Amino acid sequence: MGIGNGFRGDDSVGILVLDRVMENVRDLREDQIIPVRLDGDQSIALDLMRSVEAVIIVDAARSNVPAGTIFRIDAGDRPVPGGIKFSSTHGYDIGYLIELARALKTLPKHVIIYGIATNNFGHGSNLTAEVRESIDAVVMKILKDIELLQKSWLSVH
Amino acid sequence: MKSSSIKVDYLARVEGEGSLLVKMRNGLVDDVKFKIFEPPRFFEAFLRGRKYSEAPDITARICGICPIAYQMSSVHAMENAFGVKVEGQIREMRRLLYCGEWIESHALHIYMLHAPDFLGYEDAIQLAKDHAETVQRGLRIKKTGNDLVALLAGREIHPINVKVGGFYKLPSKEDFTEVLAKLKQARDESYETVLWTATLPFPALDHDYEFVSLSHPTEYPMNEGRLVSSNGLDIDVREYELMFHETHVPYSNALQSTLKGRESYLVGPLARYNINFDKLSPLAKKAAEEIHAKPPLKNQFKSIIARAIEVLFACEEAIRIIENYEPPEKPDIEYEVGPGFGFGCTEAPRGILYHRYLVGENGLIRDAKIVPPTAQNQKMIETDLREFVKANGSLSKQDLTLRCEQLVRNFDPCISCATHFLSLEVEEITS
Repeated sequence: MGIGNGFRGDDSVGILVLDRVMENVRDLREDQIIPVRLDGDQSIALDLMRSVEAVIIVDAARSNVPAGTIFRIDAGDRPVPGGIKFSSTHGYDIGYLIELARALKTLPKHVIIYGIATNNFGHGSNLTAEVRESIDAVVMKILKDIELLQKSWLSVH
Repeated sequence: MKSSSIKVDYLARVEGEGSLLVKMRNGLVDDVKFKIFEPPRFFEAFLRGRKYSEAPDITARICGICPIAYQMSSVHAMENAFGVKVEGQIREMRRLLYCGEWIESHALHIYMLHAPDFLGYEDAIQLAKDHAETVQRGLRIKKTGNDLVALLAGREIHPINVKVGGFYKLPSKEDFTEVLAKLKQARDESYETVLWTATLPFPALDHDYEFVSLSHPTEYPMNEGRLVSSNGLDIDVREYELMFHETHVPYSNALQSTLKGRESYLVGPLARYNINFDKLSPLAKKAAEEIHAKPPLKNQFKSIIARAIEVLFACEEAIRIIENYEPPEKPDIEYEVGPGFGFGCTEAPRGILYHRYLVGENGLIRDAKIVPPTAQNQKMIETDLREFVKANGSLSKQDLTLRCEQLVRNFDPCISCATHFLSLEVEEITS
């Protein structure tokens, strides 16, 4: 699930990572991996999460650490830390929606969130150099997560 | 002399950024200011010089929650300027689209933003821990509204299918099959919602509001009608600026509206409901009667009931329109672009939304005026707060603060529309 707005600076990084991941998992069937771009009403993530085994989310995150810093949060069985704010122009950020899904008991078993630190949400489609340079590392981490999730799934099915 | 202050840095669960200041002197309300400090967004200015046909897509960007309202008011204003009227199935599709927006916007406010206040929860997450099925019901209803808007408008947010004269493309009858089934479930769940809202504990607030809404001879108003009020106003939309005035107050970046010869007035679900109750569907009326909520409802805390009844109505109306739908030969009508003024006013979920344009010979917009519902309700928010604080001075500081926040949310304010976060400050002064 790549979250972001392609015209708001580094906010597009979630979508760019999603596209790169999908280029590298072409051997997976459509019912095994579902790419989701969220650039509007993020509340639809609630519905999307309801019917899957695992969700991996990538979003830009506001933070006071250097731009390009990568956060990996395993939120399947523990709350999303309140100190990290994901970007959203429409009220509910993904952290809020995950906690709402947890309260509703509709959260998938595995929830992995990647946040990429930045404070550049200005107009335009240019990424800051540090954020652009972090994309490869995030993609590699996600591919590794997918591999482990597949193994885990196969071991119980 | 006694002084104290109550301060809330962020009033959550509203759309946009603003603040509230209540000053008290010796237990009496000294001053109330609903401050909107979000910078002006200059939409009216940058519409100048753009093509008339761009107005629906540009103005839709004013709000992520009620973009359809902006599209509807703008296309009606442009069609008014060109002397054309959209009828038949295209008109029905516009009404259907508006039903979708009312459903999604109202369901969001009822369940996610407002209900936690009544039931004593910090937010919808805490509410969901104890009332999961209730919140799930709200989310299902909201999603049905989203699905309807996405089907007709291209996507839920920043819709792209509305144009002056109609639509770019209309669905086939079969395209509605899935959403029709969802609407029938949403109708039933909306009825349950109405009954549920009636069980909420309502703080006392009896105010003799002047309610203002559209009124249409045969239908519950959405896109068309005359502007009427509970105190006798009855004007054509083009007379809006003769009767309604906008003033700038130093502490707010949104202009405040007053009605000529009066002060504050109320727009939104409670106003629509009280003025147009007779135009509701039989099922919506039945629900209102079952909970003893026939108009006039004068307690703004009960706006959540009016919203719930409007969701029920919108579901029924959407079902009616879809079941009678026969796709037109073309999704839009022909018209000639010409110079002149155009006026449009439609019922956004939060109340009347007025647009006025001056279009030049070349079809370029020379001037634009947009008055959103939250700007119109600003003064009434201040008036209600003043009355409520006056009557509830004995409440603890914490309770009074929470009630003031709840009161502001009665209005479902969209500060992003009016210019975006609200902080609340209640201050008691001693001199």
